[in-house]
Amino acid sequence: MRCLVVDDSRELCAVLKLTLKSREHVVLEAFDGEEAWTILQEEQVDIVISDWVMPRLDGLGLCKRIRAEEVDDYTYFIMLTSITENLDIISALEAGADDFLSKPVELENLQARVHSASRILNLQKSLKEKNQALKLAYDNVQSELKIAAEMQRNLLPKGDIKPNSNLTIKWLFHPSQLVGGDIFNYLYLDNEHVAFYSLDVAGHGVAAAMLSVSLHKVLSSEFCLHSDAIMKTTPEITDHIVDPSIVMRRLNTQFLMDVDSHQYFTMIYGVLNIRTGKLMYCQAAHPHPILISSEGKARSLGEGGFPVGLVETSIYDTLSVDLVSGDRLILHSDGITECTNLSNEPLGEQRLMDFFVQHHDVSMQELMFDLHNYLLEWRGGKYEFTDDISLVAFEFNEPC
Amino acid sequence: MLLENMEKNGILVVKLLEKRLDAHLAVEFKETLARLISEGHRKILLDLETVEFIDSSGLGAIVSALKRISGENGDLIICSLQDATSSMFKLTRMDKVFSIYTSESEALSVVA
Repeated sequence: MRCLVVDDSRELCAVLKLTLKSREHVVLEAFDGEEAWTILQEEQVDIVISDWVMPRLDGLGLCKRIRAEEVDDYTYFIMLTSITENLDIISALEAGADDFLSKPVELENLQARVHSASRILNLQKSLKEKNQALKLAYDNVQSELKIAAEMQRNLLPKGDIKPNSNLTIKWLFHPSQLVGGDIFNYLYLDNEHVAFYSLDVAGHGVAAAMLSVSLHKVLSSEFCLHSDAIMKTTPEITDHIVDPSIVMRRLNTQFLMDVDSHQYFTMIYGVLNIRTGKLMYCQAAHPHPILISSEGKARSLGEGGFPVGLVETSIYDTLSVDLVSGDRLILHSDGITECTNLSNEPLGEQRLMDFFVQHHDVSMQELMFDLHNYLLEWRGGKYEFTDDISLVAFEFNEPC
Repeated sequence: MLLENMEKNGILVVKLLEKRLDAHLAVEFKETLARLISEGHRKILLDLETVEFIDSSGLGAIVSALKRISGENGDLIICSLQDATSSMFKLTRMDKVFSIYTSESEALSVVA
């Protein structure tokens, strides 16, 4: 240990120094508080053994100054006291003294106190090293997660599907942690069919995100496969469009969870004919899609359905609806309807539907902006959620 | 997690005394049911009277227990769903997968 002895008696300093040196400590000395403080500015010191009553700066003042300036390494402070001086031990403890040693100093007692100080400082040092290692590990995980979050965000579609298309698409995405289990996409199967999905893996965080990303890959290749097949034939043939319920059935077989995990997902998969407005979709336990007409009438679509990957014997149905010009179709994950306000009340389907009715005549761009603010207000001013949230809005207009 | 187990007419009644069965509880709940099944229970009635909300992780935990007990030729049935949890079972068609009864006494009288 590196010790600093501080006393205005040069003889006492010399004795203390000799005793400690014999125990292989490095010992520095100062003859008052100010001198000690100057040394402390330049030298690394583990233990200060200081007299209380000294000229210029006394022991109490020195101790207070050390505690006030302490940043990283702890300095152990032993105060020398004398029964002839009427000193207030409590004020010294409050100033940050760790131990006391009465004068005249018994050298064995001094060695024992310094030994106990070394033990405490060593414990503190090892704790500090462990904390540093922990922080490093935590920072590594966080930066890896940030990269993963960026990768996941990059999988999301970039905006409208095609410039000047009669389909306008806007979305909102906010994982509850850096990465999440919600994902969605939309793309052309051929010149007139747009396929889309919105899915939500049970749970959130890393495990859910890993499944959502693999599903994104599978679904994108599935989509591409079929558009290839269509390109080879004539664009008018729609037989090659795979029925949404079949897509769901395939996914259910491919991603069936085993008894030890409970990873499964809810999903909407649909195909919209952007020429006729005919929409075919399959709802796998995902919240009901909302349809808003240009006059502001709302409908909740679908009849529910089995989730994907949960039960082997699940049966899926394809439903269809004809969109007319100006219709908006809203897909969302339950993170939105289940997000609570400050009184712990969930937003619910009705309120979300009312929001879209009230905003039926604003532009799609504004709609997403207003929805963001609406959710922000609902959450009491904090745009933070306990579950992942995602929402995709489509506006269909009659082709010109 | 607050849970109450009671053997009635050869059926283990498991009453979950929580308001929410969500991602925070799902793993512990699933493991508890797995342990009860491995201890030899083959008929479990899950009473969800106090549960106001079940999320997808919670549902996954219940289905996982059903799969486990079915693998041992047993059965897991459910009673006393509140409105919100009941509509969750309907939305996900789990009302087709589980036998669901309105009350514990109804479930016991039918199954025992």
